[in-house]
Amino acid sequence: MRFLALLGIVAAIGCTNVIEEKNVVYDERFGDSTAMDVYLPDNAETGRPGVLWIHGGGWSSFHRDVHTDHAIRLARAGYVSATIDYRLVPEGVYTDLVKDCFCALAHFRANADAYGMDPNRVAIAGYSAGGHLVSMLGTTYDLAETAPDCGAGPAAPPNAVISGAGIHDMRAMPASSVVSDFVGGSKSEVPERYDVMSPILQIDTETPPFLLIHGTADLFVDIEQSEDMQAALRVEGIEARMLTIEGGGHITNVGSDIGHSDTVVSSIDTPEAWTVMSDFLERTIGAP
Amino acid sequence: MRLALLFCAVTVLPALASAETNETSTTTPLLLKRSASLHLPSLAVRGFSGQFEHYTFAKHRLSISATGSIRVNARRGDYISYSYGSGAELRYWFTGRPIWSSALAPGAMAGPYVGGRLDIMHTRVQDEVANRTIGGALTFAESLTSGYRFVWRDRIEMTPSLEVSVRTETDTSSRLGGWTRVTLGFGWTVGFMF
Repeated sequence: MRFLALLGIVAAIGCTNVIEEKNVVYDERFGDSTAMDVYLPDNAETGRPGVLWIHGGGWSSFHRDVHTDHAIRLARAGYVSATIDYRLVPEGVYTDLVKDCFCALAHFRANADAYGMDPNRVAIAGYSAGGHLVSMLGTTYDLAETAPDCGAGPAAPPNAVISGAGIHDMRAMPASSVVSDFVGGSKSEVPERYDVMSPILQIDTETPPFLLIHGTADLFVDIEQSEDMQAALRVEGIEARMLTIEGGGHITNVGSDIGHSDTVVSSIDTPEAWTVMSDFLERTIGAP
Repeated sequence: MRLALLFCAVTVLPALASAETNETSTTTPLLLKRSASLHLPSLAVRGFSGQFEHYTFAKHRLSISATGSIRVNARRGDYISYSYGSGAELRYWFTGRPIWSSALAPGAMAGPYVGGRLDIMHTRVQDEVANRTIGGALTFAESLTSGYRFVWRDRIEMTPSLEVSVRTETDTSSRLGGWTRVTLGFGWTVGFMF
């Protein structure tokens, strides 16, 4: 135990404390449904890079708290970091969720001076449904269907995208109520909506660099979603890196974790993912 | 190699066990003090995790085990990672009366147990596109474990387990600070008692 305490002290050296700004509502029309928590490094530096976390949960559940640990870890490393909520199904359907995320990103950037952040150095990260939403923000900023109507400003693409176990081709998802409730109908009923909600169809030469993270044993979202997205991005000349986690499922890592066990963690919570994410952020939006 | 190990585990060892058991089961009960096991799911991915366990304090129903593991991860994408780990565990065996085995002595390393273990793992990540090492992590875990050891033919053991861990991860490239969190885990080992 004393050894671990010592390790903790060593780990803490060079890290800054974190200032928390909780429950910042970024779109007054929807109140707490559209709120964010912001985590600031406790130093006077300006022009810092920022990372906005978007949670998953099948577009219908979970809360921004699932990324609190991630945001705090980045804030301790010098990034301005935030976690957001957005309207969930059934309160929000189809492009409502994407519009909310664009509003959150615009609000985050609009307050860059107050946060000591450079608005042109902002990455977004998400997992599962959050991985889909960050992919949408990286590709649909010029799409009329997803243009936000909040007061924070127009849609603008992030400077880098980290998508964990994300859905990039909605048309390839197996039919389920989770998907149809979100999109507003089945593939045969509203095929055009499935096209709009498929980032893989919206890529252009202005799309920011992507990091895709996916487990090879993910039974919820097939790894082909990320592999196909990477191939499509590269066709357009966009930097698209992919980290695969052998044996990684959607919420477990089988046969590939510390000691003699399989651990209940997502693929973005592995040591490999954090190493790759920090390197990707440093290369794309710069080190703090 | 892994297939050979698996083949050995499921064919040769039971045969040896059966032969030895036939000789001894009619005399004194077996108090087997050693076990060598594999973490079976580790063979399904590009890894290997093995464990040696010794019934060091049999009188107090306490055993000590040592674990070594290696895995190669992230091969299909643009990165490759290597992890090396080792650990130690102290287990207390409750009843020592296994099901499926009548020859083992009361107090054997079988049946339900609880334990505590310490693990350390080093991970190094290579960027295959840029051909450079981009960093890595050192992970420590302190765990409370519990499980049940089934014994077949008096020698072959299968041990599913659950664990709750406090793990601390440090970034060896110093980009990120330390990170401590609680995780749940489950394990499934198959081995040979001797």
